[in-house]
Amino acid sequence: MNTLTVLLLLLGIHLAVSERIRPAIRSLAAQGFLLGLLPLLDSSGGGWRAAALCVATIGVKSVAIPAILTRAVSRLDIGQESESLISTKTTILLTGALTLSAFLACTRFGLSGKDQLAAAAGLTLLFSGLLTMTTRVKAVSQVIGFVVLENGIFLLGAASGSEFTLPIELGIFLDLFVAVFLMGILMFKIQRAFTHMDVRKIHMLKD
Amino acid sequence: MDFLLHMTLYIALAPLLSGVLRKTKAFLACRQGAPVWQPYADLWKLFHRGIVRSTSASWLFDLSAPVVLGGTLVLAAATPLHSREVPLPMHFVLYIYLMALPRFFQTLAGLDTGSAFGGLGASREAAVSAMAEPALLLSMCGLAHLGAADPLNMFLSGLPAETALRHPETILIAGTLFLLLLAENSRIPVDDPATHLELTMIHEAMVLDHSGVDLGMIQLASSVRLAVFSALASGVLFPKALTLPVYLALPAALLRLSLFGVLIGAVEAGTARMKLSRVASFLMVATVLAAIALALQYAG
Repeated sequence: MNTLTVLLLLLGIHLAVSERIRPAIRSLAAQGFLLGLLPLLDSSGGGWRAAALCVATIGVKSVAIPAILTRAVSRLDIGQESESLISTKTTILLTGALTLSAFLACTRFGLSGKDQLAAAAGLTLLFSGLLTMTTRVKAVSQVIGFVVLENGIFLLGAASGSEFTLPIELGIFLDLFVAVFLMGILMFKIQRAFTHMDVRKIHMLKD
Repeated sequence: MDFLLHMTLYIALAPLLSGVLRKTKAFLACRQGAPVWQPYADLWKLFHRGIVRSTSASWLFDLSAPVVLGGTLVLAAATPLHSREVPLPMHFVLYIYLMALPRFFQTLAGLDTGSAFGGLGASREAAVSAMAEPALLLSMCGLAHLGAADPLNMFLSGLPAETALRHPETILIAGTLFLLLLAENSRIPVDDPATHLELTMIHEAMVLDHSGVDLGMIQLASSVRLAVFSALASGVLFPKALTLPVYLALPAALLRLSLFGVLIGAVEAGTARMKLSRVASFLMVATVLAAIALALQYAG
């Protein structure tokens, strides 16, 4: 459990600092897979519920979303670099600072042991996802940041100790899936209308 | 007796580690590659050759190679390889400074000969090691904290003997140590040890002016340094291997070092060398990982 959480955290950091899109998508798929294993390892053991949640998580976060993103990257022909508004070094420093502050904040939650670790990792993913969403230039990277943020919420929910309630989680998956699907379509539209994916240039629109 | 066994083990196994590394690299590049014992043959050859010395070199140049080898061997005496007990327990800050000592003398020797490449390599090497310092200090801090109780004793001796899986921060520390291993030993993402172009060299440019016995000593020191880092990282990953009885611990040490040889070889074969300006980001990641490992220890 602890090891799983640390691996999730490491993948999150890789996602936050990676400079290229395809490795980031691979990390995202790995993160989704590990998240899917999480309900199975929960000691309370929800039987078929946990199994269903596991299958749904892996199906959506580790297969469907990475597939959509990979397809978008190869069809849109947007190149390797996921350009950022700030330099890689600043991103690394910011990610480190955010991680440390997440750990610091979680000592006050009054959770114990592995729950505290999971909460800190979840909060870190949430922060780093937000960082990715706000600093990356290309829309694909921003979608990746959104999914990382969502993963952080999932992890935070797992740490809060309450049962995984199947309908709620499934609802979140549906939301997430639809959101990424729509963003995928939107990216095609943007590409067709402007022949580029640079979000900065859309600010210059005039009628 | 134990001291002799420890040192013999390091000196005997270190070239093997380099040999396994090069063989792995050759294998992954679909080449035959030199046999695993080639580094021993190289050392044998070098130790039977005379020294060619630059006319502008001073006594500092003559002093550097023995100091590099001696400093590295003292470092090896403080790093557990086959048991938790080391012949020379030391404080972790002293350990870090001992890591820097051979490098300092090598840098001086590189500058001393007055050749352009020596100074170029020396300045780059100093820059890389300066940037690696925070990560090194933080990960050693983490190790000392894991060992708790008595930081004056060797920091690894207090390592929890359960598997690393139960202490996730040890994985992070081992990961940091592996990144540092690549940077501190001039391995590929940071420096290419097999490059033939002096302009892109870091470590190799610095030792270009050494020859014969001096070069042999420096190469042996490099292998031992690589073995020290590998033993440290693998000791953190597999603490159980350090508590085995002696007849099992020796093969275990051999296995761990070979494993790291294969691992480093695979990394070298699979990655391209980074731009010099990106080394800072690489080492910054190592620093962040070490800081998170420390944070994990306080949170968990």
